[in-house]
Amino acid sequence: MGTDAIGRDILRFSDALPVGICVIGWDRRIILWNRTLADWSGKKSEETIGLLLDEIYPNLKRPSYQTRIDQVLNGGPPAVFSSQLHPSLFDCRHPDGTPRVQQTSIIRYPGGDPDTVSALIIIEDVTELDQEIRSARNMRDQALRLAGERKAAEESLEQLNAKLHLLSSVTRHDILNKVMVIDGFLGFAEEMATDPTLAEYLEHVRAAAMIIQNILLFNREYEKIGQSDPAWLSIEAQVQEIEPGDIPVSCDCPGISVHADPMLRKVFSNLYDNTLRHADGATHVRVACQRTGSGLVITWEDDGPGIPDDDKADVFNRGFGRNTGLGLFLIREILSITGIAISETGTPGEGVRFELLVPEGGFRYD
Amino acid sequence: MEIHADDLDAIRELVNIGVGKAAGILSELTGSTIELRIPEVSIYSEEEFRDVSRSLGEGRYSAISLGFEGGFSGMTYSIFPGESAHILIHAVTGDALDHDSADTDVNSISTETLKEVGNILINGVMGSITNVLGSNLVYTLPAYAEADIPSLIQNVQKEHREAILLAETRMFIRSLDIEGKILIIMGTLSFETLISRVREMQRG
Repeated sequence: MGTDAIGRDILRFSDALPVGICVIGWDRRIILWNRTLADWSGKKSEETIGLLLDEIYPNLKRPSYQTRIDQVLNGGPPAVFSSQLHPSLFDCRHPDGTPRVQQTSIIRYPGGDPDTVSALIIIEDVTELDQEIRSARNMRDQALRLAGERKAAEESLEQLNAKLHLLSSVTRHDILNKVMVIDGFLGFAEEMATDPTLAEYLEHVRAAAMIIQNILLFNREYEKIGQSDPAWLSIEAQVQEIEPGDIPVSCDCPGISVHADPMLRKVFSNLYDNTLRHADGATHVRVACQRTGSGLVITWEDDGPGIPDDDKADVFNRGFGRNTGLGLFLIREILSITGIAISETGTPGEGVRFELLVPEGGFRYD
Repeated sequence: MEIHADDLDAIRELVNIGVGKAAGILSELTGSTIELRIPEVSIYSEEEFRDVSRSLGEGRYSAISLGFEGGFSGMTYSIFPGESAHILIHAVTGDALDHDSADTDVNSISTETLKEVGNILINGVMGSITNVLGSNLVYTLPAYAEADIPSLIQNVQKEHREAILLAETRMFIRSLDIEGKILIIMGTLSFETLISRVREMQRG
């Protein structure tokens, strides 16, 4: 096969490639200009063949390009030109006129006449890749910005929360101090009171002062709900933390933990407090666990008088009850943090039965 | 073949000339003054280099490779440790370097930039060396990879990795300090050819 035939084959082959191909001789005159490059540059091969490369693209006269192209033509290693450092070596455009982002390689052309030096220039269009990378970067930057804004908002909220907590704590402390003063002078007044009516009034004042104190103490406990992340807590361990009283408590929930606010210990101690205060005649408390179709039921049962049917709907409302009216309300709030519901299902006259409904995923066997 | 101190000095000089040319091209390309420290050059057998590569650490490098064959055959690598590669890309493109950014990924466009910088360094050094050899070599197109040094060595055909020339340098761009190394890996015959030609050059 003659040189011309090989040349024609190479031309046909290069015309099929989706990259721009240009071959220049030792004198930088263009020997080959493939179809893709013609499309991209807007210059047909018959317009370019035989011309000097830097006549068509004067930017290539810059010393940094000259030196590197000469090195290749002199037998040196290939040269690559990245899109980030060079807008384009050859001015190539999309049909809409926007420039093509290019990566260009220049390598000594290994074929052809071995006595004739030439260089193969390969131009790849990386516009789409460049756009995708910029788009990904923009999305990443936006996500980082949103994350930063969220973090700043969370920090502001934390600071506000800390201030409110401090204010509440100081106010509560100051009020409790005044309640103690009231209590002290009330004691003096009660000792000095001889009038039964006055004594009765003083008793009401004392009762009101105690309620104020209990509300403040409740407030202090309520603030703690949700302060710490929920954790896996052993039911038996929580029950064991109840301060012992006159009524024994048994627990039959071996190896079971629930995912709950760390205030869960308060739930069981408030339930016990409830039994001590209101379950006249109760002799024992039983805590048990049972798996159901929808999760786990933890039951708290005593053998006291129970809760009348008329009161069952209101028993967890704030202010209901003979004491502060806050104990069962607090229990419900603590449990709700991790989706645990509480209801009272006991039979009046036979004892109270509180059911804590733990959803699937909220309990585990250790 | 025994290497004399004069041989190493001569090779160091060749590498230094090449690195100097590269610095000039990079400075012109980026519009920033780029200084390349005079490289420290060492020559090892493949076995000796295993101990050296352990001391260089087990980290991954951004590596630009260039294969060559002819009268002299082997592989040249220009390599940068991960953090240096990241800084280098930002330094040559002029983008601000975000030290707080978790983005140290080198994407496809950035690898092309690294490839060009590595290519300029390699070409400077190889140009210097092939001038001495006086023979035309056939080259592969530069390629980019991320790997540890032992893996890079293993990528070279066994008969072409019997001797390793290591040149360590540092690049300074706008007060940024970037670590880089050049590895020229070749077979025994090629290495002996190089040393012979270097000695001929010295004799004048």
